[in-house]
Amino acid sequence: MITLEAENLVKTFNDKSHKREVPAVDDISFSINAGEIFGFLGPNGAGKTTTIRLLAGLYRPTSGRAKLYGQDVAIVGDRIRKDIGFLTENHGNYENLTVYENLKFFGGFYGLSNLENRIKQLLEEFGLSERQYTRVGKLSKGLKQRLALARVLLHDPKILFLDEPTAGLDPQAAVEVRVLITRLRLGERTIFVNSHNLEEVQKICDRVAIINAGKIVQIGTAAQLDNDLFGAQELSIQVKETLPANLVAELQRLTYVKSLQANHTRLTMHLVDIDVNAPDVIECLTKGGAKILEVQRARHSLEEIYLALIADTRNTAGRGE
Amino acid sequence: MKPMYRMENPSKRGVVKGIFKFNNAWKIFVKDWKEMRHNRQLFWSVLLFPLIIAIGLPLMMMGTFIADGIPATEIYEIFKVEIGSMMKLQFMLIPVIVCAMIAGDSLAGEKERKTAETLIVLPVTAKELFIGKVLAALIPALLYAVIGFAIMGILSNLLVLEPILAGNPPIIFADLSFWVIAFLLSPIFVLVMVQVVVAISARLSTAKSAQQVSMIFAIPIFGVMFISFTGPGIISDVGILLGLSAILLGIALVLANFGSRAINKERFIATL
Repeated sequence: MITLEAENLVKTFNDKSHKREVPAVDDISFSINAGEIFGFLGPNGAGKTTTIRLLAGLYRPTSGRAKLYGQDVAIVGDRIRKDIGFLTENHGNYENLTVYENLKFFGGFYGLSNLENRIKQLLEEFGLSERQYTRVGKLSKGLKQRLALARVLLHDPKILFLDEPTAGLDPQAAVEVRVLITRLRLGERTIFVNSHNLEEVQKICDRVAIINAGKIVQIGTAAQLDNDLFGAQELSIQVKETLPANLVAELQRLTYVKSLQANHTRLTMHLVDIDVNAPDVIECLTKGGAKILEVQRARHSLEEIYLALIADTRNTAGRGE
Repeated sequence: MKPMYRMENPSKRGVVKGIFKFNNAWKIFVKDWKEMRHNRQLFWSVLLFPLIIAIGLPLMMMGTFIADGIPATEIYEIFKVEIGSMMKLQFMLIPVIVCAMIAGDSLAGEKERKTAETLIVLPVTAKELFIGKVLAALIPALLYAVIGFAIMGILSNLLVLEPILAGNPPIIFADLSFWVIAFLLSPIFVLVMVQVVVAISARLSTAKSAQQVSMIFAIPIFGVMFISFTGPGIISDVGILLGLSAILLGIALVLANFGSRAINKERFIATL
């Protein structure tokens, strides 16, 4: 079931210094399924925060529609607030209030009959029970972020928007928060994660959209993006001993081998069609006496995919100018 | 399960408007009050001014009179007239200063402390947010004025205790205009002021700039003080005070209805 949808969303802001409307989000469309963790990647100023605010109904789109369960967010207005949890880029807790006071204040707006129990449950779940009477200002950044996550879950929202959830956290705290996020998907909860942390997105997201200059550059799973961008035709083979030169030369002569790199016991090659050609390459190696230890279809990291896509859009834009 | 959003109250623009819930506004007031109590810098800077006026002024006057060698019975007579007159202005000035500090900090302070977006995503309407912030500045301002009044009244009587013990009546504020100012004009004036300042605070990005702008409201008070000391005693004319209160009440009611329009959520978060 589709829970969240962007339909040709456009949001422009008035640039007073140049007296013109500047698009922050430029005709983007995508849909997110129930229970999915969807990553939204892009450099600073790409339009990530504007998109999340449009989807959460905080901005009215200039054109297009953001839909929640098929209904236009701009028309439904403030009513969607009870179904969404929104973690802002800054933790957003009140530093002069205690952990408990923060949860009590925020929880008070959702009309929960069992608020005290819910607070207790979340304090335990997020390891904050012992700190419940500590002022937030005295907590570490990691604990503040844990509290922020507990806060957005008070009303058990069906959709969670997380804007840069690990920004400014030390590596250990970031790992803790990521573990918590993956736990949050339980119960068909849809999670939309804005981030420019590629490692984070790769680890926790099912699908990724890459946005640059207000436009979606690519969308899909990391494997799909790899396939679309690099063709995913790279084969990596580990052999027991260094291959003889004649065997390497024989491989290079094969018509479907586009390129080959032999580095001691590691062979890396680009093939025309990996599904068809890989068994032939293995057969050729075996016949030549090579002892194969490992055959791997090379995958590119999200970082490589992201950098290639962003560079590609910049080049295209540069040519356009 | 797929939630359905009822559409019984669509506005002209097609957006479903929320129903005003006073309870939500009250929660915002309680939160702000707790925050202010824990925010030592704001708490003491807000408390300092009423304390200086309520304690410092009578002591200063007393010190001057003693230094000038004025006898106790004469000091008692001067206190009876002067403190009463001063109290009227104190009842205007203390809430204005307190209000300027708290109301200026209200929404602009949320932006500065990076909690504004968290607040705006809550299921609260702009009106609930506006009224909550108005209460958060209005109630402490009036409370401080009443506390200041009590402290100043007790202290003034203690300072002239000798003539009182000798049979003179305690210093009370028998003048009707004092009570009109204290419990009618002052709260209404502050109500007008706080609504304007909260609206200004929604548009500005720092509490300091909002507080500076709101100090404009102190100008008419100083104007009245100047006129009272140099010319006709307009602050003693009950008719004028009642008329002024009625006009300000009208303005306050209009602002209560339309002031929340200053909190346009989209514009508000766009300035973060």
